[in-house]
Amino acid sequence: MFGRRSRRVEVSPDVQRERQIEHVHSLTYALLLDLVAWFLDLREPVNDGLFPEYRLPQLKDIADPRERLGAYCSPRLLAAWEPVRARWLTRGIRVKPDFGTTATLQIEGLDGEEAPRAVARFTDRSVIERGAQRQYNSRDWVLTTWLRPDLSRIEDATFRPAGVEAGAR
Amino acid sequence: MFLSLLPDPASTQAVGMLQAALDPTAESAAVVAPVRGLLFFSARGAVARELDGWWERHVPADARPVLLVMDEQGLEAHLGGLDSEVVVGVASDQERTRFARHQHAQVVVTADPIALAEHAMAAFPCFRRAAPPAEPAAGVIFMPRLQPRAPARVPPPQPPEQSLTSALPDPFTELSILGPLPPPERRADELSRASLFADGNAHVSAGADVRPLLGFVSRLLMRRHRIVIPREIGDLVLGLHPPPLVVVPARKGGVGKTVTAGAVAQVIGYALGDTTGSAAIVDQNIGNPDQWGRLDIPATAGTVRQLMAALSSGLDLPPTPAWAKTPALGVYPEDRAAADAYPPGLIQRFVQHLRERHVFLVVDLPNRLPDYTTAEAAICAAYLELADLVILPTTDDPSALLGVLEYLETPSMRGKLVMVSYIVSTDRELRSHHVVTELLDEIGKRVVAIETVPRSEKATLAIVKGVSILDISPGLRDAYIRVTRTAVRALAAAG
Repeated sequence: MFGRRSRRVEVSPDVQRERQIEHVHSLTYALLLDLVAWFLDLREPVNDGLFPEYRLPQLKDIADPRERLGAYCSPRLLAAWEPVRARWLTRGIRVKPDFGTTATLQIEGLDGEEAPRAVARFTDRSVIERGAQRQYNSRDWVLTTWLRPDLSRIEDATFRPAGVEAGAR
Repeated sequence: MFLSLLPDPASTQAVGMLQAALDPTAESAAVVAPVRGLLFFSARGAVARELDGWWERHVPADARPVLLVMDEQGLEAHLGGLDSEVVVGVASDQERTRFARHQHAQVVVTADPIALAEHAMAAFPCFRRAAPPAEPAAGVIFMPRLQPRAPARVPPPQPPEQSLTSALPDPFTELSILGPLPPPERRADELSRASLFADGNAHVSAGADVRPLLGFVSRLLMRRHRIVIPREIGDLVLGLHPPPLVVVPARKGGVGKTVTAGAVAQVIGYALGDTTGSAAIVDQNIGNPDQWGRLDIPATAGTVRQLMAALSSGLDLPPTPAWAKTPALGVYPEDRAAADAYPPGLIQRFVQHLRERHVFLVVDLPNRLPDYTTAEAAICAAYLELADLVILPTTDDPSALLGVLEYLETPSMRGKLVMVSYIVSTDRELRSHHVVTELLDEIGKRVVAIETVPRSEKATLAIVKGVSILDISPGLRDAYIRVTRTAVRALAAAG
């Protein structure tokens, strides 16, 4: 009645599609990690043991997160983020980053009819400190990235709190 | 004494946090209750007696119990007269007013059970206070596992959280000030032919209506079957959070209950296409193996009973569900020998399990009124407790229509969102008979919508041929698309 027949049918047997999804997954994960490392001025190679999902092997050994970002983000995007980072660094805020145990990722536009877009939702549980003040964050964020049609790099990205409509800034 | 009524899997984590943070000298403890959420307060009959026994065993008479619970519709009605303190997580500031008269309730605006536990740790003196701030460990970033097959669900808009001006900023707050980049300026020699006809803006703005695109496989399937599902359905489903539970019970057999459940689930499955979300159809019609039993589901498919057993004992979960031909529909058949009910707490965990894997759940229930007198009735009662929407199928047989009214009057249906899927007779005299129309009018006053489905022998033919009801008849397909759209709209409107 529901079309449930004798054989199981996989959702997506398209190997190429699987690879695309995997690549967008890798870029999104790398962006989140490298961006935070850049803002925190952490200049260390990516540790395989700590970050097994960082699947850009050619970048892992680069200590400078800005350099890693430059390998897969558009220069315009990084240029837009530069002043934000500079302002952030002057605030003297310490961060113990924790983005929870799981996040969700939705990918659209892989058919090539629209710009590929990835929407990741994660929870920021970081501890933020300034002087003796300590704050335990618990907030959901939505990271939206727009990629080149060939998925070779991230052209744009935005962060917004979950529940706030895109564009409602 | 802290009792967690928080949903799984956060409940275990929350209790672990509370236990770790308790001051050893305070002689306090934190435990997970066997039944979570509203059900803890509203349980009746045998379940209530079990809970009373559990309470006596775990909560000393001189203890000061503190219940941690996430808000559900109607929760406030159960808090009167409680001699416990209650910490409630609510979705928005507006919800606070519902608990205003309960002096023993602390209301926290959060959708996160862990944040609720953290609030309790800050609010009650039996927890160790934080040591002076230590230097945060440099170089360690706790990163999440990204789940590419899970949907990035956006919950209903919430008011802006605690004033960011008074809070310490974090990198994301700083970055969120930036909008999308403006489109790059094009040089004259880069102007494409397309740009002569459009605005030349190839950039998709964040505010644009970007919809999931159907994948290659799905498009092929849809072309072959010529099944076109309105995009609105998929869009609305992906915006529902948490994943809704739709149940399809009936008072009387032969009203198209299983067909309705299957067709709605299948429409959702098609609507989701190859987005990362999927729907689930669950057989809990334990008293009527003939219906699902006729379907050609592989013998190796894991059953609901196996899954329940694994969830209750911590064993490995059975294989992933049999995937129907529908692009994004998981099928959870029941063991044909199943005749016993499941405890409500286990059903709650099962539903939570499904909610973590699917974005829309449809459960085919037995033909019984909900109560705790028989296994089938208890199954109905337990699922209704958790349901976000009830679809009551009926025909224009007056006894079926009376069955709908009878169902609507059961205590389990109080406050529930209900719609009716009404199979209309081909006999004009019958369908326009005043008894039928009067009963329908009465039903119409008490449900959000009545959607009609033409009576068709094709529905039976679909069973005989073992094909989808959506494939067998355009008329039935359109009707069940309408039923599904109404259901999804009702869920979206209810928030």
